[in-house]
Amino acid sequence: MKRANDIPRKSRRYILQNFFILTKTYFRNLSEAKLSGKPDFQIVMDIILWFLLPVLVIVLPIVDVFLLLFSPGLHLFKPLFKAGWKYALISAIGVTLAVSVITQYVFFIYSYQFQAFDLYLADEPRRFIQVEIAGIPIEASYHQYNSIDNVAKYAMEFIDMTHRVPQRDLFFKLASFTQSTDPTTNITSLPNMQLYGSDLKLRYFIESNIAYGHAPESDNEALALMTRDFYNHTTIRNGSIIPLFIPVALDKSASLTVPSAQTTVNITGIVFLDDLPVYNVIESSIGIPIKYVLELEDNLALFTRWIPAANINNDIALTYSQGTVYENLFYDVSLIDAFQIDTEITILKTIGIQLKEWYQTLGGINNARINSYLVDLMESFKDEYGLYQTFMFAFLAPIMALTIILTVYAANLVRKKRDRQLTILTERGSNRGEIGSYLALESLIVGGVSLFVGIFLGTPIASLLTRSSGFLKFSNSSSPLKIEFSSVIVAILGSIGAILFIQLFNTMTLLRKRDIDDYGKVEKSLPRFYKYFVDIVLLLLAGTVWIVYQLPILTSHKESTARYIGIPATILMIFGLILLFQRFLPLFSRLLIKLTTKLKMDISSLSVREISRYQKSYARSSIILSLSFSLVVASIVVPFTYQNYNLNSAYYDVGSDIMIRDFPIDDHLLKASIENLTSVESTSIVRLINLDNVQGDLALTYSVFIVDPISYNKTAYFRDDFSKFKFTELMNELNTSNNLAPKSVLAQEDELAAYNIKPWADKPITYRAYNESMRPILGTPYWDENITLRIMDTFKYWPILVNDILTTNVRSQVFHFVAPVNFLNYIQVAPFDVISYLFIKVADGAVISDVADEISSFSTGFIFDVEREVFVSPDSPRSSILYSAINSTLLMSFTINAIILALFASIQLIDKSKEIATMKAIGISSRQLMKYYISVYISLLAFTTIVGLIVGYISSTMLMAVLAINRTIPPYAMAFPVGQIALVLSILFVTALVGAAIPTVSSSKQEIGTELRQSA
Amino acid sequence: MTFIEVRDLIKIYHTKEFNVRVPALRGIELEINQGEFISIIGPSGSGKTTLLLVLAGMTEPSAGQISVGGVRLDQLTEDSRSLYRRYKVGTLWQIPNRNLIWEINILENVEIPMRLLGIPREQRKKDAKELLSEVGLAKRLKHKPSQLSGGEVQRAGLACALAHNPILLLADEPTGELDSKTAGELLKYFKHLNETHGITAIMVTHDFDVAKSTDKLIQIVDGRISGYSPTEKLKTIRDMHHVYLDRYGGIQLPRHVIDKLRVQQEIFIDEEDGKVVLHQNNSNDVKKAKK
Repeated sequence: MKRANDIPRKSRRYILQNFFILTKTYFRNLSEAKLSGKPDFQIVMDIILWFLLPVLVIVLPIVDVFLLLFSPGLHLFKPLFKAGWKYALISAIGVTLAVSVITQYVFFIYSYQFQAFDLYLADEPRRFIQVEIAGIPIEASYHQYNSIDNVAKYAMEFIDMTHRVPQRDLFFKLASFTQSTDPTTNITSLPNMQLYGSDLKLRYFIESNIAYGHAPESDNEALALMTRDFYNHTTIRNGSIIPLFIPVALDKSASLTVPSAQTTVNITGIVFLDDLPVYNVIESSIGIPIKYVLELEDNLALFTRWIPAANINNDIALTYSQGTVYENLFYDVSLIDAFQIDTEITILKTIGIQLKEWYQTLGGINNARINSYLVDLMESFKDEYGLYQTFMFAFLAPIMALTIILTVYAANLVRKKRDRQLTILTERGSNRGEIGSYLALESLIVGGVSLFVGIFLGTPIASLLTRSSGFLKFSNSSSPLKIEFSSVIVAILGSIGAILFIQLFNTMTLLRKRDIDDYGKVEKSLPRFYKYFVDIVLLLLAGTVWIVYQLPILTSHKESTARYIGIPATILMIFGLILLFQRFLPLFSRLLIKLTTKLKMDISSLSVREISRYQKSYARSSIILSLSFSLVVASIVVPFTYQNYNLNSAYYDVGSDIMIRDFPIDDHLLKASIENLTSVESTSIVRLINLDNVQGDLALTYSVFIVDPISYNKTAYFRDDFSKFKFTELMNELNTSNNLAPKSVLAQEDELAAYNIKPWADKPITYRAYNESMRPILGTPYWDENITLRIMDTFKYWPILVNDILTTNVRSQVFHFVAPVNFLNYIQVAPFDVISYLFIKVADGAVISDVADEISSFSTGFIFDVEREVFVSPDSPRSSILYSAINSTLLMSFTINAIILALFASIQLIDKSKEIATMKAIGISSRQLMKYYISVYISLLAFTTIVGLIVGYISSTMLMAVLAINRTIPPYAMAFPVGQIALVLSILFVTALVGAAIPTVSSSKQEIGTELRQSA
Repeated sequence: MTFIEVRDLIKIYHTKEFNVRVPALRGIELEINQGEFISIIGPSGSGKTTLLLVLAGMTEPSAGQISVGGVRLDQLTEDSRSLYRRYKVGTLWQIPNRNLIWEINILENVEIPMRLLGIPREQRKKDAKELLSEVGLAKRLKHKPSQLSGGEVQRAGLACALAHNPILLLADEPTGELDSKTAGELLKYFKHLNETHGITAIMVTHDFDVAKSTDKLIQIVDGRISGYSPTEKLKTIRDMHHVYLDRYGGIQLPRHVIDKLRVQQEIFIDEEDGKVVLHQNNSNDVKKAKK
């Protein structure tokens, strides 16, 4: 058995662990990967990644420092830097962007994960592991108290977890009742009044908060814990002597007057539950409300020390007064590493297992139940966060690719200009070593400056992202950016890695053998890689990977294949499509030429020809812009679809705005009072029965949803794609058949198809009928009954009823039917087998959760409402987490777009300074020149917007298919929030255009003579 | 004493894009003595510049032997060629921004080759200033190339080419973008430097007037040496070879012919008794006039 002390308390490789947001270390992966059942390809990937990183971040800096100290190109530094600082600056912008993106991402994701976990923690106040020992005879001795508590203590010491459990509390609870009279109504009732016995910290905490009276001193004394509201409606006061019954006594006599087991308790003081401060636990800054600590279910309780409480228990005059003992082991949540959720879950589970074993072996207690709320919390966090993380990872790769392409692109563009300088140097006798080392040195300076500027710029953006409160809203101030030493180190190392990568690329590009006359070539073709059909290859690859992802054999592994097969396929598809669409750029430019010529837009007509003339560089910019646009579209479409899906899913689970399960359908008064609420539009009673039958080895279940077609039609939630027939038609049909053809039902389409049953066919079924009156005849109330159902029409999905799509199972089969109300007349089932629901539709304008609250104040049953059931409800903390992910992608796209077009424009203008000067020389005005270039950029942006929209939507569809694993009921429908997309694309369009306009303006002000001579 | 010796030099360019092999030099044989000032003439595409690039150690020969001052260029590695360029050769090109880095001033430009040799800062500054004074730019030291005239830029380029005191100076049409007066001035400096520094100088040119000022003239046609003559015999060469026919049938008239005949925009060509005759006026008009 694996013990908790085998697991490191806190990883010493904290920094490396978090590198690039990977949550598992390479070393741990290597040692534990096989044990944990990790797929081989994942292990290989990890190994490759973790081998590359040390090379990037350790070897290359050493080379750099060496270059700096012994650079053979040092003597060239001054004149070359003076000559090339403008181009170095352009590179610096690219590198700064890369650093800033990395910083944003690292700081944000680091903070984001903690923030997300904190939000989850805030949702779960029970930050303890609870040992619940039910039915234990309570002894009036501290020996019992200490021995139970010590088992937990020894268990923690044995597994070396005392530091994680800084505090323990032991108490027992006895279910009991007292008599309470409401003086205002003079009605006497029997409210639950649990009796608590505990000592030490818990006792001091309660006793230090007495509102009236004093702490109990004798055996039959106790404090009464109650709400202020209850206090106002009861005659129980300090000094009251109250009777105390236990449930078994009431069961026996069923009488208030003479319960067989009772005692009396003197109330020495009143403690108001409403006024109690939170219970502070050692080593924790966040207190826990006492009701969670005590598992307090009602608004009244008795509390006293262990021995007096045990005596009260014994006084109740039962031979063995059995209570439930609770040992709460408060967990130091600050030690939880949000990046190591799997490990943390293992630790908590190990603690639970150890506690159970120790109570069994040392305490002789076999029924200790371990309640670890934190495990549930962390597992739910893992699932939900995993989803967002998948979403973010899906965007991280293209964003990183974008940044790298952008910087490489910038480097490539400045290369032409640098080439001239470097050629002169080569001709003067400089060798590659000198030039290379000079360039490395320059990159080092550029990188150093960019590192600081990038981090400086990235930090406020990351801070902004953590404040996300909705779509491009940043008003959440509750979770400030959390910058820690480790995240700074990760950001710096990541940035250095990126800088070195770029530096290496730039140096290699500039060091290539240059052809001295290779200037001013017209790039009238698409980039060279198109000759190798890279786009087609990528698309084929994406298609193949996607087919592999969809293979039936992998269906059961979808959780693990989603991130490693589904997401890569999507990313490949994005790149493939983006590249493919660039093939249409020349066609697009020709169309524009025709259009502008027809419209007699002379300058624009002239300018759009640029796209054809410089296809290579325009196609490259277009690739980056299209990629950025498509990311933006996808980052809006996917979360909106997901958000919509969540709402639909909640409706599907609840069936209508509000649903009350186990509704007392015979309580007509209650139903009427709900219907009379002005905020309620309509209600409908719905019933569900499962007719079971076992034939040999095959278990057959006929799950029948019984509705009143008229009221159900008005009240229930139903989507058009749930059936090929309209909901109203289905309900009308059901209503008609109610009278004409009894036992007519609607059936689930795929189930019928599997058994080759056609609509309007009869389906005989056998089920296990129940009738208590048959017992004297059969010796049992059960027998097999045959009835024949008439299948009328079909549906694909039915809210509440269908929660699984059909899977072939040889052992059991469920048929889902919807039947009208009189169906119950034809079957014989036990009343307790019928689940009753009340569906409620809320009037327009009313807040669903408010109506649910109002109903809950007077209704019984379990009330569910859509607003509370929705997984990610708007303006909730979870929504904040989701939108952080969206906003991060959007902000980065804004930045990248503005910079890419600014860089592109700058380099183009540098490159074409002679052309511009010539145009100016023949009389083109600055305004016309502006118009000339802005026309080109607008055309380019228009093209990339179209491509972005198409690719964005296709990739969103694929991403949703990946994200919606195991959540296919109801099917999600793709959302396309036109408003938001239009808004964001407009912002992008404008920022990019402004980026392009700045260098254009500055270029239009250049002096013609200088330009012409310089570019000769 | 033979300073440059070229034997059966072949250079073939391979255009990867279209997979075409273009022979630029097809077996050049050449001998040049130390301190000579040589000009190379020939039509466009004849291989003049390629020969210059090979001699400058900027292009690897495809075959053949080239020895410059005892250094076998055909046997040098990439790094050795860099050192060869650094210590032995100075180059001057027709396009000004191939000689100078446009973003820094001319003094800094001249200092660059000296930096490569590791000359100390003070010495470097002094030598650079002296060199620029020699080419008449003493007052323009802090000017950037864009602030100078065409002739000044080429003179600054010349200073740059001589900054590391090379033993071989190679110039590719250095006067190509200059008017005759400025070209004359530049040549004067060229000759002066050749004489005072004792540098072997090779200059590619189209201009016979320019070529006239050199000690020896080499004519290249279609990758081969078609004429090789001291400049005293220039007249003979000129008589025999002064017009070059390119592969499209285009001809280039020597400057002195243009000047002498005062050729304006048009010249008329006629074939008489197996000879090509050029007329200032249309021969038909002449014939009409005769009639």
